[in-house]
Amino acid sequence: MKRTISLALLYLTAAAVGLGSTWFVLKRVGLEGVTAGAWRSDLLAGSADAGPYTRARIAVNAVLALDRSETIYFLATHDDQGEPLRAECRYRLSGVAPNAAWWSITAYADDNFLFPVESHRYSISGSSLNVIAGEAFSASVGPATKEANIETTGAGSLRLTLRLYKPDAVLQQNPATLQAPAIERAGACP
Amino acid sequence: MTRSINHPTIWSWNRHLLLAALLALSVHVLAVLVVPRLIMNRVIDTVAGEGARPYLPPPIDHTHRRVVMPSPDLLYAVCAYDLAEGPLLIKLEGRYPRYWSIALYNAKSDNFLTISSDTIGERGVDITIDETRSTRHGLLLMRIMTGANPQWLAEAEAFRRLLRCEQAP
Repeated sequence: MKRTISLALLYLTAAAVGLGSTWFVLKRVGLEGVTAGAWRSDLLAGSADAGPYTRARIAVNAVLALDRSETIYFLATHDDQGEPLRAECRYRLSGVAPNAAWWSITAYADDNFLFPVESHRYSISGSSLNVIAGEAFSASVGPATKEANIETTGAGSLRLTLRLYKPDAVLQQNPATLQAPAIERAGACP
Repeated sequence: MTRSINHPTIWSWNRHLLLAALLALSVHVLAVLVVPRLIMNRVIDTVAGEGARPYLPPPIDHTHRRVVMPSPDLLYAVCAYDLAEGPLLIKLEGRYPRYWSIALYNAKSDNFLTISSDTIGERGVDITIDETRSTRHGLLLMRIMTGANPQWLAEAEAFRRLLRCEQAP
């Protein structure tokens, strides 16, 4: 009887290890692909050529992604100094508007959904900042204040997603050439 | 005597440990392969309406908890289809002066077809999807750029209502 229980525990543990390692790989291991500054992009997102791990990671973290020829997605989870992005901290985004038909930067909480902010200041885009490709821009991300272009709330991880819709041919061929928006911490974190 | 009793037990535990390791590996691989289909099935179930008729979700805000990483700068329209009910006919006539796209995903979450404002030009959309192009179950997702601008949002709302997803038996 004792042996049967031990064996049952062994196989249950094995199954749990299999599921747990899947969760870890899909949620905690970063996407492969190219980097530009603090931003990372998986070039096979949405593609039928994606391998099983890429496909599963995209399904878990960004299901219904578009193919690279249509949209390139960059994800940032750290600032330019390599520190994890935090919802309770303030950041300054700055750079040059990318060469794409349209672009946006959106903040997501650790669960990959929008922060519950009543101001609805979830994102910035070329149209909201009134800049065209090649023009400089800057914006503020952080807890609610008058100057926050993107508002966060609570404490915990912060993820920024840069979407480039219809990127130009150079970016499509080599997304690493993106002049990546800088992500700098502004002031001390609480 | 002691060895003859213990030896099979030790051998048996080694065997069980090996089988447990194989089980863990199998569960891991199976989960990786199955996750995209499970998630797509959930998404399809979430938005499936009567037949393939478009589902028009409200503009995205933080109360939207159906699909991860929604874009608040887009207005969406969704058609969930089952090709067992016949080929899917997609029609869209009309113009929208900003970026929009229609993307089709199969049950494995692969984006197998995308048409967008700059590829379609002035022509309307009139395409048919059958089982040579898609898995039996799939999803159409229309994205219309609104930039969270109220006037653009009103125009996008009128534009997405022109989308037709129909299935001919």
